[in-house]
Order: sequence, then C-alpha cells, then structure tokens
Amino acid sequence: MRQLAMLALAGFREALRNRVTVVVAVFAAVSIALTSVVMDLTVLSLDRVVTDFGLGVMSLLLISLAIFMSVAMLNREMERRTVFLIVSRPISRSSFILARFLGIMVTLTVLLAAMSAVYALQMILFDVPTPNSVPAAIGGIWCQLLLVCSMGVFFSSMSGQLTSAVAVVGLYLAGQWTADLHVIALKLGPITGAIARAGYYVLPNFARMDFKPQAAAGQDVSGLEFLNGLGASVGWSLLFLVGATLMLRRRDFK
Amino acid sequence: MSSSAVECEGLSKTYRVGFLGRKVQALKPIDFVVHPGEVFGLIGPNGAGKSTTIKLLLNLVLPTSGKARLFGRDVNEPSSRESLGYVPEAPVPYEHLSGEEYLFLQASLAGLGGAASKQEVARVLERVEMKRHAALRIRQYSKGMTQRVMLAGALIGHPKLVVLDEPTSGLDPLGRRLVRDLILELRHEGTAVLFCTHIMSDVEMLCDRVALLIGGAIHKCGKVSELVSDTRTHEVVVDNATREQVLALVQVDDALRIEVVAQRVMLHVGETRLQDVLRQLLNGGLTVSRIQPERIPLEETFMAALRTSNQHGGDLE
Ligand SMILES: Nc1ncnc2c1ncn2[C@@H]1O[C@H](COP(=O)(O)OP(=O)(O)OP(=O)(O)O)[C@@H](O)[C@H]1O
Ligand SMILES: [Mg+2]
Repeated sequence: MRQLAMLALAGFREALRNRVTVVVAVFAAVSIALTSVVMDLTVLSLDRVVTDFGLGVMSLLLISLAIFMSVAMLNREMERRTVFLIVSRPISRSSFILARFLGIMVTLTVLLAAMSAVYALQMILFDVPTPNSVPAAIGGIWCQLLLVCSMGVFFSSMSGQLTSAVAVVGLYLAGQWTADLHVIALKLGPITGAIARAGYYVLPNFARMDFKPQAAAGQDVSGLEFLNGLGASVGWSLLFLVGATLMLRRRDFK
Repeated sequence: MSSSAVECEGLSKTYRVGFLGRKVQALKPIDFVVHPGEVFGLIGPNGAGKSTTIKLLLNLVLPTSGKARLFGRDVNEPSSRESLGYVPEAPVPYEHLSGEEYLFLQASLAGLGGAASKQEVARVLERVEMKRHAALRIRQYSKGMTQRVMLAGALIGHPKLVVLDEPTSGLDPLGRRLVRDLILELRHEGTAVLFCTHIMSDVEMLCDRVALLIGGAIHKCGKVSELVSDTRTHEVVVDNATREQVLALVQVDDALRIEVVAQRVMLHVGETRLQDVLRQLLNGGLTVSRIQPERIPLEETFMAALRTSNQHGGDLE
C-alpha cells in the first residue's frame, strides 16, 4: 500500500518535472485572451459565452492531456525498460499499473484544481456571475478524465500508442453521442437498429458526465444527476483497469 | 520448502515476433540451481539466452514451459522478489530523478521507510562511491555513473540474492574493480549472486560455479575448476638467445613449441613440463625474462565449446 502511494507520487513528480504544468498557463492565456475578444464582439448573452468557453477549453486541454499521458505511460516504460526496475521489486503487475494510473490521476486532478482557480479568477475579473452548477461541471470533467485515463491504460496494455490513442479518441467521441444512438435505433432497420442499440448499451456514455451545458445555461444539476455520472465513470474505469491488469499479466516485458 | 536461492526446472522461452507471431526459440528447457551465498556465473556468446534466463527468473518475461523459484517461491508471486536486487543489461533509469531520489524510490519499493531508507541510501551511495554526484539528475550522468547508481539500487536492503546482467559493461578499470570487490563482499556476507558476463577473468576470479550457455542450452555447468581444462600453457620468453641455443637444452614435443621473434625465443610450454623446462634453461646459462599463462583457461574451454557446438541462439523456427 505504501509502495503503491510512493509509486503514484513518483509518477506525479515525473509529470511535474516534465513541465505538464504549462497547460495551466496555456489555459490561462487562451481563455483570457479569447474571452477578451469575445467580450468586444458579442453583446448577447455574454455571461453564458464566458462560462461555457472557460469550461470548454479546460475540458479540451485536460482530456487531450489525459489521453496523451495514459496512452504513452506503459509504452514509454516498456521502451525505456524503466519498468524492469519497478517490477523486479516485490510488486505485482496490477499494483504497478494501478500506481501509474493513480499517478496520472493525481497529476490531472492537481491541474484541474489549478485551472479551476484560474477560471474562478477569470469569472471575477470579467465580472460574470458564477452559476451554481459550475462545480458540478468541473466535477464532471474529473469524471471524464478518470474514464479517459482508464481507457488509455487499458488500450495501451494490449497495443501501441497510436492505436490506443485512436481507440480512446474514437470511444470518447462516440461517447458524446451514445444517447442519440437510442433515438437513431428507432429509425433504423432491424439489424442496424440492433447494432445501434447495442452501441447505446455497450459504449460508455460521456454525455452523462458532462454538465457544461447546464452550467452555461445557468440551470442546476441535481445531486442524483451528478452521482449518476460519477457512478458511471467509476464503474467503467474499474472495468477498464481490471481489463488492463488481465492483459498485462500475460504480457512479456522485453 | 526448498532452500535454494534460485531453482529452475525445464525453464524455456520461445518469443513470438512480428505480425505473424513467428517463433524465436531463445531458451531450450534448462535446469539449474543457485545455492544461498553462492556466486554463480552465466556465460555464453551473444544471443545465448543469458538475459532471457534472468528475465524469466524475475518474471519479466513469462516462460513457455517450466518453472522457476526464488527461495522456494514461484517467480510469479511478487513475494519471491522480497529479498532481491537486480541490475538489468544496459539499464535506463528514470532520468528525471537524481541518483539519490532514484535510490529513495527503490528503497520505498523494497519496503523501507523513514530513517531506515535514509540510512540505506547513504550506505549504498557510499559503497559505490557516488556520494558526490548524488544530487545530480541521472540525465546528466555518464554511462558508468548510471551503472554505479543502478548497482547501488540493487544493494538496498541487504538482499539475499543479487542478479546482475553484465554488471561491468560501461565501467572503467576502477569501476570493474569496484564491481568485483562488491561481488566478493556480497559473497562474504552470505548473499547469493547470479551474474552474466563476457569477461572470463571475472568469472574465474569470482564464481563458485558457472553455467555455459550456448544456443539457449546449458552446455556445461559446474565448478570453475571442473570446467577448466588442465592443459594450461605458458609463454616463456628467453632474451638474447638463438633457436639453436635453446634447442640444445630442451626437447620439442607436443607440450612445447618454439618461436623466434627478433632477438627473443618464445617457448609455449604445457603445464606439465614447465618446471623442468625452466630448470633446463636456467642451468644452461640462459636468461628467462618473462613467464606468463597463455589465454585464460576458461576462455579456452569457452572457445572449444563454441567450436564443437554448431548451435546458435534465437533461430527462427
Ligand atoms: N524480445 C525479444 N523478441 C524476440 N527475440 C528475442 C527477444 N529478446 C531476445 N530474443 C532472442 O533470444 C535470444 C537470446 O537473447 P538474450 O538477450 O537472452 O541473449 P544474451 O545471452 O543475453 O546475449 P548478449 O550477450 O548479447 O546480451 C537471441 O537470439 C535473441 O534474438
Ligand atoms: Mg544479454
């Protein structure tokens, strides 16, 4: 347990040394610059644009980073053979991958917190009232990060970086529209309809964890709605992590 | 419960390579045992399967057949590695860490914490003479410095088994000496050491027993003295003499050859005749300026084994 924590923290430290923190600066720069531009252009529902935009940029940056980090982690360790130095200690492969996953999540969580602080500052700066559902939207981003990371780790446990990245991006994009699949299924033929419906049940539904629209519209997010998203995220992540463990157990480190 | 430090039975490995999963047989089923406190050498030509054997013992690669145990525990149990230190071949450590930070990470992975880990890290840094560079990032280390820190990592927590894959590669003469001393010291402390190398003199100097791997099979295994053929020859150099002067004193046969280079006569003398020949030369009034063993005997055995076996490692099946 102690070893797991140490290893996770080592991952966090590595990320810091590799200067992932620049994404926070990027976020601050992009979001403040563009918001200023937008403020000059639009008069219409300005608050909504500022709220939506900040959350959107935050989510885009962090999801990309999550995909990048999770997909590269295992492959890099294998390629550089640093994995030998960890796995030759009394540590199971499952603990190794779990610790690395936690390391990425710690990093992303810290970055999300930092970005949220920048975001809050920005809301004050531009004098925009913060809707009640903004914390839920940020929590939702965290849920999506958790899911994306576990998917990245899962796919990279059985294939290369590029394949894994494509798979995760694909699932992420599909996950935005899974709700629509159900609707589409009704309009399709029996076979294609069945496939679409299967997709609806099988694909992780990212939209369930996305509370940005509510935040932008100033609507509230109920506790139940949020728990629903959190539950889906945690459930799917566990599934992907167990899958990754099973794959890794049968793989040679060479 | 077995008491061997390392034990493998019918351990073999066939890698699958490429898209089609073609098979490469890296290791045929092998058996060997390393006793606690023993220094065991794995030798063999490039591609013989030495590193593969070591990776199998650490469960880094999974065996195609057979079983391996460390201290009686199957290698697929993480607890089998509780008292183990390992330095891989040409290791690439986490370069963003300093040497000291790397060792602290290793100490924590080995289950040490707080004061104990501090003490251990200081001890092993001192041991490999890297205290001065401890705070430098590994990225900025030279190859030999990296190797030293890796060795230090393997010493953390006084393991009962240390596995080293070509520990002296990349080290200067002082570094080699350090590794040799280190291995002897470990042995003195009762730690078993399993290492592979291409340097025969190291093997002869350090190992209790050796296994000679050729083409993924154990060609010979035993005490160094058993593996060494006793047909050792010496080169005896006589300065300022002619062939005729020498021939007048000693008789040429299977155990003695003569060569003349410039003003020197060189005799290649078998172990059995050495003392007699020396006496004859000296009594005959000649000056012997140098005597040295020709080729290290183990190397001779190694070469002979290579010549007789036409096997190569890693054949595609
Ligand atoms: N990951 C791998 N995939 C496919 N074949 C491999 C792999 N690793 C090793 N081999 C093959 O297995 C054989 C044994 O390799 P191994 O690395 O064990 O040799 P070695 O004895 O350590 O050699 P060296 O002295 O050069 O380090 C070689 O023929 C090699 O081609
Ligand atoms: Mg090797």
